[in-house]
Amino acid sequence: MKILRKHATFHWLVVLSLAWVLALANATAWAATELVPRSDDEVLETLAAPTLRRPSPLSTQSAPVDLALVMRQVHGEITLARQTGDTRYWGRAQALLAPWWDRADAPPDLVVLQATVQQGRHEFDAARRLLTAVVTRAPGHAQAWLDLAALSRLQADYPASLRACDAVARAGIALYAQACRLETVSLQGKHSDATQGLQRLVETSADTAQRSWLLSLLAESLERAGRDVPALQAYRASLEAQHDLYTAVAFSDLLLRTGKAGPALRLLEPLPLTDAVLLRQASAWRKLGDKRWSGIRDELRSRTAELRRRGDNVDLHGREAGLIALWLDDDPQQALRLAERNLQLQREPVDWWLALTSAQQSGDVAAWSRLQDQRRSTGLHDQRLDNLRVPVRQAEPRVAS
Amino acid sequence: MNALLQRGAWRAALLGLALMLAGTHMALAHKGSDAYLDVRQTPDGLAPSAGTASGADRQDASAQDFRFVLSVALRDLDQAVAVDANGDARITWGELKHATPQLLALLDQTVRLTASTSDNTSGTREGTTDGAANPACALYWRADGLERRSDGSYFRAAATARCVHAQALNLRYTLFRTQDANHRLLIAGRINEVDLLTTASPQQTAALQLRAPRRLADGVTSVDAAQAGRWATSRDYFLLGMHHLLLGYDHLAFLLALVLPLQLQLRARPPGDAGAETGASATNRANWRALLRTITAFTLGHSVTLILATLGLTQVSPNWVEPVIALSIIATAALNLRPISWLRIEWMALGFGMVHGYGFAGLLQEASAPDGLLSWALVGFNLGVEAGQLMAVAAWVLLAQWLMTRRWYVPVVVRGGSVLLMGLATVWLWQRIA
Repeated sequence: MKILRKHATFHWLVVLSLAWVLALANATAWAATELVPRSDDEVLETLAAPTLRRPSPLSTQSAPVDLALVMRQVHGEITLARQTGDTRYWGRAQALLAPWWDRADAPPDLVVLQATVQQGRHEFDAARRLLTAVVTRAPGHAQAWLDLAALSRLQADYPASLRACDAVARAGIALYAQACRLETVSLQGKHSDATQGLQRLVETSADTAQRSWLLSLLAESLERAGRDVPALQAYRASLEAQHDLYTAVAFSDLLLRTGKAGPALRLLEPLPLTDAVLLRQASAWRKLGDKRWSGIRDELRSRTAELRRRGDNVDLHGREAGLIALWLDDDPQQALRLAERNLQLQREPVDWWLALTSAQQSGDVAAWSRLQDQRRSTGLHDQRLDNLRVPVRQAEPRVAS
Repeated sequence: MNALLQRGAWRAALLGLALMLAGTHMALAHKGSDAYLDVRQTPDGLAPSAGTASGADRQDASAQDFRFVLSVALRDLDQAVAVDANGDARITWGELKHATPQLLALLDQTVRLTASTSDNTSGTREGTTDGAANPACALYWRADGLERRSDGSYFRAAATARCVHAQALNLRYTLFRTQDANHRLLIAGRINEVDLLTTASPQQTAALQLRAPRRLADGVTSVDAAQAGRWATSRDYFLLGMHHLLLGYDHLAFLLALVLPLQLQLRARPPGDAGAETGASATNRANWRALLRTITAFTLGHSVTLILATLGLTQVSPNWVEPVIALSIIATAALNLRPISWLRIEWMALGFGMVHGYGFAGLLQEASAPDGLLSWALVGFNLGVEAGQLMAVAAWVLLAQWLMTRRWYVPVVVRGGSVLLMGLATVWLWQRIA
C-alpha cells in the first residue's frame, strides 16, 4: 500500500511537472520577453519606412486637402502592407482615407484605394461593390477595371474577368490589359497561349519592376500547365529582377510541392514572419523531421486567438486555417470543412487544391465529386489539380472474427 | 508608356498599383496594430486586512488599488511622436529615452480612466469626476521598461489608480485614433475576482466600462463585514478628504488668505529682552488663538453644510457655490489689505466655510458614498479635510518662520500675497461665471 502510494505521488509529480513545462511552453508563445538595452546606440526597432507624416490629433478637416499627396501617402502604406505582410499598414491607409471612407461622393481614385485596402483585408464583397460603383460613375477608370478583373479571377468568374480586361484595353493601357487577359486564359486552361503571350510581354518589358511582375505571372501559368522546371526558373528570374513577398511565398509552395524542403526553408528564412511564411516554414521543418515545426503551430494558434480577441473576422482567413488543419494538425476532416467554407470567399487554384486534397485524405468521395463538379463549372484547369487522385473510400471498420 | 504617363498624375499611381495586383489576395500576417493593457487589483494599500470579511465584502467597503500596465509597439508610437528623431527608420535606445516624456504625455491624454457613479459611460457626470475631483483615480503613466513581442519591440508604461469602490470605472482609449483605423487595445486582467478580457477601439465614442458601479446593498451581509466596511469607508473617505483639500487649490487659497496676516512665531523671543518680551509674546499668543478660532470657525462652517448637503437636507447648485468660493477668496484677501474693524475674521471664516462645505459635498456625492455607510464616510471625509487643513497651515507656519523676520514681510508677503490671491480668484470667478 505504502509503495503504491509512493508511486502515485511520483506519478503525480511527473504529471504536474509535465503540465508545468507545457504551460511554460505555451506561455512563451504568448508572452512578451523583457528587453534590456545595453547602450544608447542599440537599435530597438527597425521601421519599414521613416515616418514622414505625424497628424496632429487636433488637426482640423477644414485645412485644404492635397488629394495627390493623400493618394501618394495611401499608396505608400499599401506598398508597406504588401512588402511586410504587416496588416497595421492597412489600418494606417484607412486612417488616411477616413474623410472619404464609404462616402458615395468621394473622388473615384480614392474609392479605388479604399477598395484596395478592403481587398487587402479580404473584404472582397465590399471591394467589389465599391469598384462596380466606380466604373458606373467613371467607365474609363482603368485601375478600377483592373482590380475588378483580379477580383473576378479570385472568385473564379473568368468570363467577367475577361470583360473587365477588355474594359482595361478600352481605357488605353494595352500592356496591363494583355497581362490581365493572359492570366485569365491561363486559368481557363489555354496554357500555351498564356505562357507564350506572357513570355513575349516579359521580353518586351524594359522596366525591372514590371518585368519581375510579368515573370511571376509567367511562373504561375507554367505551374498551372504542369511545367514545374521552367516555372522554377521563372520564379527565380522574377525574384532576381525584384524581390517580392508574394512571389517568394508562391515559389516556396512550388519547392515544397516538389519535395525540396531544404531550398524552400532557405528561401523563406529572410522573409517577414507572416502567417503564410510561418505556415510554410513549419511544413518544411516537418518534412525534414525538425521538431521546431510544432512551436510554429503553437504560434499560429495563438495568432488566431489574438485575431479573435481583437474582434477580426477569422472566417476571412479560411485558407490559412484550412492549410494549418491539413499540414500541421493532420485533421483532413476539419480542413475540408474550412476549405469548403473558404471556397465561398475565394476560389483560386490553391483553394481548390486545399479542398480536394482534404477530401482525398479524409476519404470523402461525396465531397470530392461535389468539389470537382463545382470546379468544372467554373472552367478552371490546373495540372496540379488534375494530378490529384480520386480518394479511396475508407474501409468500413471490420469486426474481428 | 511615355504618352501614358503624360495623361495625368493619377496614372502614375495607377501603374504602381497595377504591379501590386499580383499579391492582392494573399493572406499575410493577419494581426494588425495592437496595444496590450493589463489591469490588476493590487491587494495591498487601502484594502482592509480584516480576516473576517470576505473578499467581495471588502471590495464593496473600500477603495480599490489598481495597477495598469500598457504595452505599445514602438513602430506605432513613432506615428504619433517623433521617436525616430533622426528619421533613419531605426529607433535606438537613446532616441527612445529622449522621447519618453512626450510618449508619457501622449498616453496621459489618450489612455484615461474616468470614474462615474452611473452606468452612463458617455454622460456628462463622468467628466466632473475625472482627474480634478479624484486625482487618485486617474492614470499618470510612467515608463516601465521594454519588451519584445511577436511583431516587434514594445514600450511599456505603468500607472496606479486608487478608486472609490462604488464607482464605475471607465476607460477612454483614443491612442492612434487618427493614425490607424484598425488599431485595437487588448485588455486583460482581473477586477473584483472576475477575469477581464475585452478589446477597445480608439474609434469608439463611448468609454469602455471596466467595472460597473456597485451598490452597497449587495455588499455588506454580516456584522463583521459591516464593521470592516465602516473602518475602511472612514479611512478611504479620510484620505479622499485630505487629498481633496490639499489638491483643491481654491480651498488652499482661502486658507492662505485667512492666515496671511497672522504672524505666528514658534519660538519665544530670546531671553534678556525682558521688557519687550511680555508684549511680543502676548501678541504672538493672541495670534495663535486667532488662528485657532478662525480655523475652527471654518471647520464648523463647512462641516455643517457638508452634512446637510450629503444627507440631502439642503440642495445647492454648484452654479453659485463655485463662484462664491472664488468670491470668498477675493473678499478675505481684500480684508487683509483694508481691514474693517467691526468685521470679525472668525465670523467670515464661518460664513464662507459654509459655502466651501457645499463645495466639498459636491465632491462627496460624486464619489458616491454608499448609503449604509454614509455617516462613516462623512466622518472620515470631514476628518480628512481637517487633517489636510492642519497640514497646510503647519506648512505655512513653518515657511512663515523664515519669512517673518524679513523687513519686507508685511508689504511683500501679506499685501503682495493678498493682491496675488485676489487676482487669481478673480480669474477663477470669471471662469466659473463664464
